[in-house]
Amino acid sequence: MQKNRYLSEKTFPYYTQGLSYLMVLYSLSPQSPAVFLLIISSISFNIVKWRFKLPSTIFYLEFVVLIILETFIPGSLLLIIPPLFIFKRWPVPEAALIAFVPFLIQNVTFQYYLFLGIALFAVTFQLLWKNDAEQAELNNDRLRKRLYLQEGRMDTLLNDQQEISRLAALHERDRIAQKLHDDLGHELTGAHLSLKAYKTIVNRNDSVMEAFDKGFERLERSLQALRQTVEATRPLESFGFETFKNMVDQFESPRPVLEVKGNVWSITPKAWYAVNSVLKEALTNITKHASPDEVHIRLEQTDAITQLKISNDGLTSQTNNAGHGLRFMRRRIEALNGMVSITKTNWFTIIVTLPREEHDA
Amino acid sequence: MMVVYSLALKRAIKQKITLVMVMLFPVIIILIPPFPYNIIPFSFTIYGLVIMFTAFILTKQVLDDRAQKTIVRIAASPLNHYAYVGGHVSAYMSILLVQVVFFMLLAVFRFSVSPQFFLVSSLIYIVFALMSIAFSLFWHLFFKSYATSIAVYSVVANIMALAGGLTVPLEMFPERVKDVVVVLPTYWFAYSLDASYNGTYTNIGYTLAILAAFTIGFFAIGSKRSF
Repeated sequence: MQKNRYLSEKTFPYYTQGLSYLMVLYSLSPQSPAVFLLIISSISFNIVKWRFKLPSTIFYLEFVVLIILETFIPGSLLLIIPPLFIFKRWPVPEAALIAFVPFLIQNVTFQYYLFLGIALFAVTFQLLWKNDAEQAELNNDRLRKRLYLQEGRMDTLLNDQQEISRLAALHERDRIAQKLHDDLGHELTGAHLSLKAYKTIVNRNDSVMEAFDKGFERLERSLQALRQTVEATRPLESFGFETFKNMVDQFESPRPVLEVKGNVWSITPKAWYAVNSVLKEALTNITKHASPDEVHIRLEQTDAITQLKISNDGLTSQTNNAGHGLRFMRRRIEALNGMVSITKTNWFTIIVTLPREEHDA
Repeated sequence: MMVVYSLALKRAIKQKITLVMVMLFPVIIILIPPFPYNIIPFSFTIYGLVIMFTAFILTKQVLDDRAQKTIVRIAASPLNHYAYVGGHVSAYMSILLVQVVFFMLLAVFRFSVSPQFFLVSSLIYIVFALMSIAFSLFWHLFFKSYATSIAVYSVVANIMALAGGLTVPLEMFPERVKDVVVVLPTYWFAYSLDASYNGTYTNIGYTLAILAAFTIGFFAIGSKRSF
C-alpha cells in the first residue's frame, strides 16, 4: 500500500491547524498590526513547539497569556483553539478548560464556541484516523515478521533435506561395502583357499592343470578387485555414530560423560542427522553461555524411540531465554515428528525424543 | 562557529554574483526616479526584492552542501548542527549588512532623507534581511537542486513583491486585497517603510516584531537538518 506523502494521518493535523489559523485571522481584523502580530506570534510559537518538541503542558502557559491579552485585544482567546489540533491524545482537560473559562470573561463571541466545536470534531476525526493507521501498520509489521520467520524456516528445512539425502547416500555406500566384504568377500576367500588346497594335494603337471591355474589366477585377481572395491566404496567421511562420537570426544571443557544404550547402528541417517545437529547446537551453547563442571550425554535406542539427553550443571541467567539455535533445533525435531523438552531445574537438560523408523536394510 | 563563519564568508565572496548583488544592484536601484507624488521613492521598496534575492543566492551554499552530501560528512564531524547553521547565517548577515549600509549611504546622497527615517529604515532592512535568509533556508528545504529552487523562487518572490507592495505602492491597493496580502512578510516590510517615510512611527515596533516572528517561524523550520 503506497502512502500519500502529502495527505496522511500525520500531515492532516497541520493542514487543519493552518486552516484554523486562517479562520481566526479573518474573524479578527488582520490589517491591524497588533492583531496580526498576535496571530503570527502564535503561529511561530507553534512551529517552535513542534520543532523543538516542547512539552504539551506549555499549552496552559499559552492559555494564561491569551486570557490576559483578551482584555487588550478582543478575540485573542480564539487563538487557543488551533494548538488543540496537534495534540497526540484527546485534549479533554484542555478542551474542558477552554470551554469553561470564557464565562469569566466578557465579549466572548459565538464564533469562539463555533470554532471550539469544529476543532473538537476535527481533533476526534484525526485521532480516530491515526489510531486506525497505527493499527494497520502494526498488523503489517506482524505479518511481515511472520513471513520472514517462515522464509527462514523454509531455508533451514531445505538445507536439512539436502544434508539428509547426502547422508543417506553415504549410508547406502557403507552398507554396500559391508555387504560386499561380508558376504561376497568371505565366499570368494573360501573358494580361493579350497582351490589352493586342492592344487597342493593333486600336484599334477599337465594341460588340465594349466587350465586350473588360469582359473585360479582369475579368482585371485577378482578377490583383489573386490578388496579394492570395498576400500573405495566405504565413505571416507565419518557419519552417524562416528560423527557423534567424534563430537563428544572433541569436547574438552569439561569432558562429557557419555552413555550409549541399545543398538545405535540401527538409527536411520535422517535421525542421525537430527541427533547430531542437536548435539552440536547443545555443545556450542554450553561453550558459549554456560561454564559447567559436569556434562552428561546419554543416547538410547529402544524398539520404539531414539532418545538423546544432554544435561549440564552450569545454569546461568543467560540460559533463560531460548535463542535462535534452540528454536531451529525444536523445528528440526518437530519436522521428524519428534519432541524436544528443556528443563532448567538445577541442571540444564535437553531431551530429544524421536520415533523409530524402520531401517531400510 | 567562527570557523564555519569565516569559511562561509570566503565561499560567498568567491562567487562573483555576490559582489554584483552587493555592489552593483544597490547602485542600479538607487538610480530609479522617484514618483512625482508624495509617496516613498520606488527605490526604497524595490530594494526589499534585492535583499530577498541576495539572501537567496547566498544560501545556495546550504543547498549545495546538501546536494553534494557534504552535510553528511559534516554530521559525522564533531561540528554541531546549530554551529553550522549559525555560522552560515551570521556570514550571510554580515554580507547583507554591508549591502544595507552601502545602499543607505547611496540613498542619503540621492534622496533627502530625514535622520529618523535613515535609522528606522536601516533597522527595517536589517530585520527584513534576516527574515529573507530564514525564508531562503526554509525554501531550500523543499528542493534538491538549486536550479529548480531558484526557478520557482524567482516566480514566487516576484509575486510576493508585487502583492506585498514592493513593486506597486501600497496606496494603490484596495482594502479587500490588503486583507488577503497581510499574510505576506513583504506586506509588513512595505507597510513599515511607508509608515516611517510618512513620519508615523507608532506601528513600527509592531511591524518589526511581526517580521521577527516570521523570522523565528522560518528559522525554526529552515534550521532542520535534512540530508
